[in-house]
Amino acid sequence: MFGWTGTILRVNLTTGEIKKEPTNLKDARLFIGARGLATKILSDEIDPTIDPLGPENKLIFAPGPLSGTMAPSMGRYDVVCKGPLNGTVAASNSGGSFGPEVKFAGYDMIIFEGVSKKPVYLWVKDDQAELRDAADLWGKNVFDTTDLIRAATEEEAKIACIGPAGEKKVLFASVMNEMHRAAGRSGVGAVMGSKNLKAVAVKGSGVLEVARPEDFEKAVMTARKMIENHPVGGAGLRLYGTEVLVNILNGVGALPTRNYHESYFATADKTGGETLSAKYLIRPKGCFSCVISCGRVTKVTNPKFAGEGEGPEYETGWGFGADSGVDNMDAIIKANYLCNELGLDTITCAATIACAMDLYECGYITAKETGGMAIRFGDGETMVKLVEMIGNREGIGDQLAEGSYRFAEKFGHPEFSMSVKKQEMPAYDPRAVQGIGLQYATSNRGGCHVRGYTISPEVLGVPSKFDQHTTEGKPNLVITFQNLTAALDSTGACLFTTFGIGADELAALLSSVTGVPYSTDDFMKAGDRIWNLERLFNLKAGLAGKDDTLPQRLFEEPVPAGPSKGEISHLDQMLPEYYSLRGWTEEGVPTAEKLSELSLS
Amino acid sequence: MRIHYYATLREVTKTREETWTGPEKTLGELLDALCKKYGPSFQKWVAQDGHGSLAIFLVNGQDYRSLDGLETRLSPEDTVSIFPPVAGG
Repeated sequence: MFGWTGTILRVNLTTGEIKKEPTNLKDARLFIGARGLATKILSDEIDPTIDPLGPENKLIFAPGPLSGTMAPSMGRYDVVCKGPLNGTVAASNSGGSFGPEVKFAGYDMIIFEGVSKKPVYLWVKDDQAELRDAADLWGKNVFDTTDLIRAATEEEAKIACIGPAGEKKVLFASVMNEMHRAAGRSGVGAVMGSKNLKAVAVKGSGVLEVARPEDFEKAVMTARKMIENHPVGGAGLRLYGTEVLVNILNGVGALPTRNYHESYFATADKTGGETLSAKYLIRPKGCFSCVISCGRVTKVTNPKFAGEGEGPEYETGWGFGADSGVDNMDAIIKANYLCNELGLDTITCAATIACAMDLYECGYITAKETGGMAIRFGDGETMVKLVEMIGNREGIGDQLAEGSYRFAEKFGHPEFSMSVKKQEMPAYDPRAVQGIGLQYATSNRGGCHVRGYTISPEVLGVPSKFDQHTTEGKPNLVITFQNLTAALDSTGACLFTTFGIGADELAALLSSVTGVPYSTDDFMKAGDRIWNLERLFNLKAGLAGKDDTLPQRLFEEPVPAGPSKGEISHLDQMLPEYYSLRGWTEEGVPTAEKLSELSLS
Repeated sequence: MRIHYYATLREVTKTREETWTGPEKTLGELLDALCKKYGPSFQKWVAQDGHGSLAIFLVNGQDYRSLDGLETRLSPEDTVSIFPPVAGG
């Protein structure tokens, strides 16, 4: 067997039993791995209506068949469960080296079920696996936890863990690996905390072989060349990181500012990739087998916000920057470091703080509710303080830890939460870029950009240029990106390989590794299948077509100034065609015919 | 006319922005003039037959491909922003 190891490790935290079982290869072929295959297992094994923080939820760490191979930038894995932020199926994607290490140890995935009576961590070394007492680790931040577990196991072990935020079940707590890489969104860290699982440590000595070595070598050479020759994948991301997007999105008037009141931030340049490179960057960093190296090793020397670590990425720089009205880069980077240390999703954390600033500025919350704190747009110092309070559930941080929707709703104004299905939208304004609005509205985990990144064609012109302000052709564009990304995520590849390669090359890599012949059509169909599987889970969990929408602000408040002045979102012109092209009913439900076509019935 | 430079072009031109008073009437003419002024290290990022086909040129915040492409006419009050193709996220 190639690509897939053929073995799954299953850990029952209630009984302490650990066992190995065979991977269902029929499902593996249909759902590929990582996001797709773990979602299939979750769908088969849990009732979608369960409490995500209760004992019946399952938590799956899942690399894909390409993870750990020497194809370029194949280091990724997913953390999959029912997500506590909004009850959708959560598959949070992360890089680093953890995913490949799980493969080297011999596993396609590690499944956790039940709840441990006391804090534990799992130590896996090849075919040996044991649960160890984590009493001394509970309460420790991500950095210290990682160091301590490496000292107690092996220096080269790869560690995925939660910080205080996950332990305290902050609804957007992340799972961190290699200290600075995040399975960020949807609160997967809170599920880990609810199971009293502090960390997963893995060391593997296996060698991954491929089915057709000559074809694989050819496919790898082709992919490497295409990525390296692409100006973004080959040079741009290494030079400036993803933060280079700040000035571009601002330039076209699509940088959401002050909780989406505006879409142009006058001092954005102080928060972008050029500034990051000039003043804070120590060196670029890449994940396992990466040829791109978009990661940033950075340092802040200002004593007020001192720290070092990795990042910020674009969404983080935006959230703690323009969205909060802050242009103090020291504060922005410090907020990023704190999120990594405490184990928090930077997007939801920043957008929740921005929502609180908005409510405070409008007088809907006051010093009485904040314990005397003034929470204003532009106040970087308070913003940094709030991150710490959220991660530790202190003071008003305890309420903010529920996310912007529940927070705003508590104070009578849920419309101030810039979220879809209770997950906060990231750094692109749907009033200024029509297609990304459709992506936000229809994404299977709520406000999310990365699973249907139409910013690439609509703003960057990659692979070809679509007008950001029009709706024509956008439903088809969004669906193509959603399907491709679902399949790509499920292989263990990094999304940034698409600055260079596409479905053809990914199908060729998958085929030569696994020995299973995937045509480009097969590959895209697998993505369509995975998308529909996620949709079915969400519908059973209680979501419906009416939830495929955007905050009212984006329909009723035209952009007030800047290059996109006067624009609103025209979601209503795109959603019906989206449902129709997807083969769904007018209510957004996959038809029996569609499910049969995808082998999902 | 104001020209704003980003990313690698800041290092090439040694500035973030400059005021341009040349006679160029279209975006294409302006780019030719800038390539002449700053040389091959500028040209490689904007040349249409190379990576430059992915460069982003904005005129008053509007992408040139939604206007008249390289034939887009320029006036003295315009702001032109030039982004080399380095961005993804």
